[in-house]
Amino acid sequence: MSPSNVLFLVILLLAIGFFVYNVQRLIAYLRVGKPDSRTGEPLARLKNVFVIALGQRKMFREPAAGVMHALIFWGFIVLTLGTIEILIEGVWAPFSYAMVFPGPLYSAYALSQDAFALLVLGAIGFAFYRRLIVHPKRLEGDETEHTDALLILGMIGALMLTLLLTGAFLHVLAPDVVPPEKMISRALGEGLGWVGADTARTGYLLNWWVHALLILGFLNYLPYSKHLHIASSIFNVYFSNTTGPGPIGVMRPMDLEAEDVEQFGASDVEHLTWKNLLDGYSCTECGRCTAACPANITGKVLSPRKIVINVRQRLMEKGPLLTGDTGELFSPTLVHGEGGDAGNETVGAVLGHRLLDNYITEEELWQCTSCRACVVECPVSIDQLEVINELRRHLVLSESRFPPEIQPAFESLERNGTPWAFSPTDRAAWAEGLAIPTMAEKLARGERPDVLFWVGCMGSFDDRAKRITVAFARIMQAAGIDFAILGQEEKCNGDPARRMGNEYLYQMLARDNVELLDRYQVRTVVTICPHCFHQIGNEYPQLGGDYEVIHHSTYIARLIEAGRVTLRGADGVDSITYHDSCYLGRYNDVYDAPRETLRRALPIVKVTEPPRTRSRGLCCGAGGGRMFMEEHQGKRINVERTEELLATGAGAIAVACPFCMTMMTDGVKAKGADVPVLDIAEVVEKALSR
Amino acid sequence: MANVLAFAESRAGALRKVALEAVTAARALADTAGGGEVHAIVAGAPGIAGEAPRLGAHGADRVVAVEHAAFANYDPESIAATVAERAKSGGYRAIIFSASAQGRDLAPRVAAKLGVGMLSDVISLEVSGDAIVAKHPAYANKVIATVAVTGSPAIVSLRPNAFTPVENARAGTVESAQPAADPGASRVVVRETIKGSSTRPDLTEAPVIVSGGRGLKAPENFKLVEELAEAFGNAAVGCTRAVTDDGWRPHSDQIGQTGRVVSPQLYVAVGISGAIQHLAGMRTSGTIVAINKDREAPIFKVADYGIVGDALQIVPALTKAVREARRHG
Repeated sequence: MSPSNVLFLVILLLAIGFFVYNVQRLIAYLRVGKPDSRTGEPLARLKNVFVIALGQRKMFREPAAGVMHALIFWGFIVLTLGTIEILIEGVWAPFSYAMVFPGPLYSAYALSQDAFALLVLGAIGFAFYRRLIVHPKRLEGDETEHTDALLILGMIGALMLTLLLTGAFLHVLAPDVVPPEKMISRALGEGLGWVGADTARTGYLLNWWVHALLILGFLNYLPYSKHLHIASSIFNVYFSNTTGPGPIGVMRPMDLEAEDVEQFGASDVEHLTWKNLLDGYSCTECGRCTAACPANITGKVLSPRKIVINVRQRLMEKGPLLTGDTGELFSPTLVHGEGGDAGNETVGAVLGHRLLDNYITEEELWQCTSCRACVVECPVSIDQLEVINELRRHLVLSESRFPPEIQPAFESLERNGTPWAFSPTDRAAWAEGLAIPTMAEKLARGERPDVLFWVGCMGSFDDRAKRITVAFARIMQAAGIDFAILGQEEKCNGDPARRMGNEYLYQMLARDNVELLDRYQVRTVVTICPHCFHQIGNEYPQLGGDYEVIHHSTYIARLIEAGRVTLRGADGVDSITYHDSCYLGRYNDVYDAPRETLRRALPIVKVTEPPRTRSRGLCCGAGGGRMFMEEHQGKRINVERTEELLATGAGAIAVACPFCMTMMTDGVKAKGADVPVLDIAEVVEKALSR
Repeated sequence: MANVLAFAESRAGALRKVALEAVTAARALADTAGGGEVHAIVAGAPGIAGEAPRLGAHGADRVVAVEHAAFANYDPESIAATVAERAKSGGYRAIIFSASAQGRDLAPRVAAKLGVGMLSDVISLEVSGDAIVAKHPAYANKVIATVAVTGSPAIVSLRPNAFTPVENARAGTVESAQPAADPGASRVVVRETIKGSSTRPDLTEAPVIVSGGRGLKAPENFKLVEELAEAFGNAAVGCTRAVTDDGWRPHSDQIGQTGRVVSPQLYVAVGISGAIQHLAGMRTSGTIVAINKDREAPIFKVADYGIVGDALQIVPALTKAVREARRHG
């Protein structure tokens, strides 16, 4: 071993050691979070890793930036192979993969190194262009780390250049050593043919060392940078549930009976799960979530990206204290009660504030519509919404802090089983004269209907929504479906209470409903409300309620498909646009059924799409209990969405959710437009041939 | 003989209408219970004793005036202590409050200090043997609960507008009293009072409310609603969420699920379609009159009287008719 080999070995071991030290420190911080089992269904998780992480699928939701990132990412994977070669070479100079790889494989390897170095360089150039010239809006705001980003881009660029130049100078020195597949290195070497041998040797050594040291520097810079995502994202995707395994978008179960629990919801990092904290490590502040957030789009302070950054910032602040990590290397003041007054002061300051209020304000939290646009958009499967939901739970359950205007909704949910102060006795008033039996009546006759029609509060009490209810009931009658309703026994499914953080009220309602449904031995539930659909189908299993729940869009599509209803085609409009409901689309992946239903019911009518559609559809503004809150800041979300829908020029707006119906109808009125808003059931009912 | 104490609510040195309602109800109760005296207790800044004659005119035999500079603002702790102290020494059968914002705060405090039962949000009050029997609405006005208390004194809070002030002149002898607890030591400090924009009666107290929706088309057309309210003389102006969202009116005027919940004797809905959000705040009103151009509008389902047509033409005509009727009335 030459002295330079020894020197490199020492540097390499130090660098690896320091990286390992930081990794164990960061893992220790993760342990501050609450346990959460994320190991089940490994095949589904591996699939996510292949599709979302390695396949970069979500990156391509924005094509230009997606290609840029994918090239850098794939480049990294390919070039890491080369990096290993270089590191071994540093310790034992004669090493080359040519010694271990068969010929063709080595050729492919050699080609890939040069090719990807060039591709990555191109992508880095584009990245600099975006950051320095274009300034995309989503990269701004939320105290994002611009210097960090430029530094990392610079490092990667330098790595690529030194890699190619090492090859180039080597080619000058020894034309036979650089394999012919490294065409770019060789071409550069040809261009450098005029330099002398000494200069070439110096150039070679200099570039080799700079490259190798940059690799090690880069590795150890990561734990101090938002670019930690390079190390954490693949793990984050593996452990995520945002695209499954399991039903997506469900809120975490909560045991309100547990006697040892003193904290409901979260007010600081230690109340979140380790996965929420890992999300913090995995955010590289790309801002795709915030750019998709309906609250943020309409000028409100909520930014999902900020929520995630705040979790990381707070963890970095409090983690050392909670783990007993004295952090002597970097922050000697963060010592448990030691280290003099300065230490105590810092400790006091850290303990004196928390994630809620000091980082994330109440105002931000209540602006969320729970639409899941942020979660769906995140390329590394971060769940911003879970943090928001947990903080809301803390606000309501532990501190009784919530916007005053939701008090009547809570009160009425408790008293009347519906968020509006309407009497349960009026719940089935819409069904008068329609000859629709209740479950109780069916049971009295010794019958069990095939299907329970779960109407929901909007469909029961809101005059406009009642027309949807009636339309759907008529469709089922026309199809000869044996169905019944619960009538006065039905209660709110609990979704508004749960999304507004009132888990206690939610469980009260949900348990009553589960008991009721089980008493009637209900198997199949159809509903016109996506919130009921999601809640009963995906969240009631947490409370032991297992039913097949079908949204009416899917149910109608199936009836049409099976020929149970025949349509004669409707007249009136010549084009219609469809507004996606969040709880149907992003929560349950139902995008096609409502569109298919529209096409079948209106065969000659053009179905137009607004620019933001399907999984990118903009929320109507009513989700997450926002229906029961005031919108104090910025533009109204429903107006923003209505404008997009009106801009398609369609003659009518179709919806598949009674909350969307209210919001879009209000939006159309606010714009003074004369465009009808129709539920898909109403469209179909009008087209029934009878 | 059973004396009754009425708490006479005041604001900014003047009695509120609910004070006269409380005294009237106290008078009726004392009379049916065998003709005891009615004592009205009023707390305010020095000068509040000047309101005593009005309490006398509505049936107070004696007016206990507690004057203190700190009572320029409502001070829950000290006033509750003072009323409780008076109750202990007076041997009252009942103490009557209004279920107004102040009364809802004060009555339970006094009940707790005295360790006695309380009847809240009462709409009718009578004596039956040993008991005081009250009716109060429950479950979003779907049922009327009848509740009896036998303990003494019974603490009662009256739903505003449920009792109409009636003149029934008594001596109204003024007796001044000191606060039973130092108002200066109160833990409640009023830093600022932010007034709503309207000079009209408070929405939750007004017997008549004229309310406007987006059907008015433009903020300037709200003056039609204001003129109609003006014509009634005792009407407050309300509006829908859509109107506050568009910034035509302040949020304090909003009636509905996320605004105020009201129950006036007469509710006039102008250009309001009757979305569930709005209905949740006014459905229990006595008589509902709706004006809307869309005959399918849900508001007509809850309305007792409906006019289908353009609000911009109908409201001025209605205003004129109300003015005429009051001139001749």
